[in-house]
Amino acid sequence: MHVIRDYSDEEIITALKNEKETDGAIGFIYKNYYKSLENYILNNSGSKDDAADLIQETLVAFIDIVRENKFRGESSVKSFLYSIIRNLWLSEMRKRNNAANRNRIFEKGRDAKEQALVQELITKEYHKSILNLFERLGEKCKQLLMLVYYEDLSMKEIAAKMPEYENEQVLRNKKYKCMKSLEQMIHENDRLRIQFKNALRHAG
Amino acid sequence: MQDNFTDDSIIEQLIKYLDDELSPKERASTELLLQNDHTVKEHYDNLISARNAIKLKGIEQKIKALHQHYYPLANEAGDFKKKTAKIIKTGFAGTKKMIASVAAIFILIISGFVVYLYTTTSSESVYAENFISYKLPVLRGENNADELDSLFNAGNFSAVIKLIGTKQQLTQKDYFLQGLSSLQTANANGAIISLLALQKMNDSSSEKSFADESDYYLVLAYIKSGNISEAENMLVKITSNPKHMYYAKAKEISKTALTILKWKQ
Repeated sequence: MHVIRDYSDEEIITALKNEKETDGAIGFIYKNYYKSLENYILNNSGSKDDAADLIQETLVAFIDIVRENKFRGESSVKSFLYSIIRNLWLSEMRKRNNAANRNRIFEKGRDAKEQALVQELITKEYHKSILNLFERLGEKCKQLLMLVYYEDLSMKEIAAKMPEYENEQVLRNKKYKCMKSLEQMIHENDRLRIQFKNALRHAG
Repeated sequence: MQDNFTDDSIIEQLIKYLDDELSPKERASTELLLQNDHTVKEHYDNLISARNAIKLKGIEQKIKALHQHYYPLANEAGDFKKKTAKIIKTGFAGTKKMIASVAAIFILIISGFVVYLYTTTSSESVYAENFISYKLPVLRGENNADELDSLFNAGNFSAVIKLIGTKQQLTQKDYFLQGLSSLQTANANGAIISLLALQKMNDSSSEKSFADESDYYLVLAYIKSGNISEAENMLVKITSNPKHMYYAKAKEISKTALTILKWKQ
């Protein structure tokens, strides 16, 4: 049985900024907001699977925005989630309707607030496309970079998790090498950057 | 111009700058480079995007795992706005509701107690609760004790009433013993008549006998006969005089019980 406590909007934001407290806040969102978000998709020609995917994307985008301190709290959490999913779904629908276009098409936001959100969502799409390049790195590189940049561990902590590397300096050197590889791939993929800039221009 | 892009050391310097691993001097020179070389700036932007993409991947993995865990919850009731409004609304109202509940329970208990009192309180019960038997003093050395006294002290109240009935003229003591014997033989009205006669005799005599006793036993006789108002009047007479022999006893008679008896009438 899940026991989820209630959260105010402020408490949700605080919890999402802290990796250890994120789970409870997400549970609360699932319990209280999932249905209405799902209904939006279902009422707009989407399926339950579409809703599941889009809601997860929505939450990823929301957490990212919160952790970058870009959520200003001008609207409620529920409204903001609704805005995100609406924009994601609309852009997904445009993509499905335009066979020639492999990417989502984001339209300009209705007002300044939504415009800022659209810009964020476009940036997230760009980051997602970079992840395709990330997947081309070796497993050790991926593991190391995740420990450094997502889990935010110190080299000492990472050395304990990756004992195959002799010491912290060796790990540090490995990190530089992995990041250089990834940056090189991004640099060489002009197309991605151009698409990103075009998307920003189109929606902006 | 030298191609900085193939200089791995520049990229490594940028990574160190991104991860805050440079000394203040190194930071300053990197910042200068970033300001002046837009190509270096582009590489740096790529590194920022790479870092943000990695963070995004971590969040995606987390949400994917949490989706499996929390999806069943999504089917539970829930427009949180309603629930929130309810919670926020009862933040203060919750205290009021609690106080109201406690008050309701309290009233229920009191009501229950009152009902209990009402059903169990009767003239007989109040009389029995407050009755104290009276014993006449027997003086030492007297061989031929008064027959009436002996019968009374022996609890032969019917014989006392019969014997007093044969007398032509009754004394104050006779009226008193007659009154108490009537009480003991469940003749409350007879007791009232005798005790009132005693009080009338006391009023017209310089020597008062059994005055305080008659007051108290009249209260009991009135209660037993259901004449609660008269009982209350007599009680007021006793309790307004702290020197009355039965002052303490009279105080013990429950006003609530008398009130209930009046309701019942």
